[in-house]
Amino acid sequence: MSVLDDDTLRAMLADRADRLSPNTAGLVRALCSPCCRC
Amino acid sequence: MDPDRVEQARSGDPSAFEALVEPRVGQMTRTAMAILGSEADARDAMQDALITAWRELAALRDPEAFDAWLTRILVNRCKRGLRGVASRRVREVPVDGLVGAGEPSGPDTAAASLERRALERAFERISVDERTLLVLHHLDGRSLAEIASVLKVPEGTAKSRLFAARKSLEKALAREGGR
Repeated sequence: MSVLDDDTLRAMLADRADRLSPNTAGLVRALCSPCCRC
Repeated sequence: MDPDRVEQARSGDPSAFEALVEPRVGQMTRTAMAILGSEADARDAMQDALITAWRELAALRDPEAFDAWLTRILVNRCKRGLRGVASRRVREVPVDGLVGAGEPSGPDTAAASLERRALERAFERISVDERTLLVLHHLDGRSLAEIASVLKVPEGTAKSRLFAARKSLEKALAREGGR
């Protein structure tokens, strides 16, 4: 029997993933526009 | 998935590449953040993954496999990033009072919060491969078939690896005294 339930695990992972500043999200979004095959 | 757009991007059209990647950036960044736990490392992994994808897109044989291919590049970059900071075993786990959105609420908030932190510390102690499996399945909601496609392994292997990752996390959690 599992001692760890799916909801708790999912909530922990979502909390971890959401710890991203809007600044980084914007920076990464800008990266997806390549200017050349460098 | 738009195979024509993949073909355009493969032939060197940056706007086609941008159109392919832009809708996926949000989820990819969350995936990297969940695996690595560090904003700087997640940003580096994303940057490396996007540059690698752009450089190597011409080698992608099956346009339908674009999603799995791009995710594979990202998780490989996450592994590389984590190896570079392997000595930092416990990283960026929030301390009391600093957790905002996503924090449990209700009468058992304090207990749930302690439990969440113990679980995250345990998660930090398992391997990046194990973290990746748990994130792809439990955060991204990918099926075993999709995970198998990302990792390029048979579905049965993905299933057994996911089971082992879960057990590894439970053992780490037991060592934290959280369960």
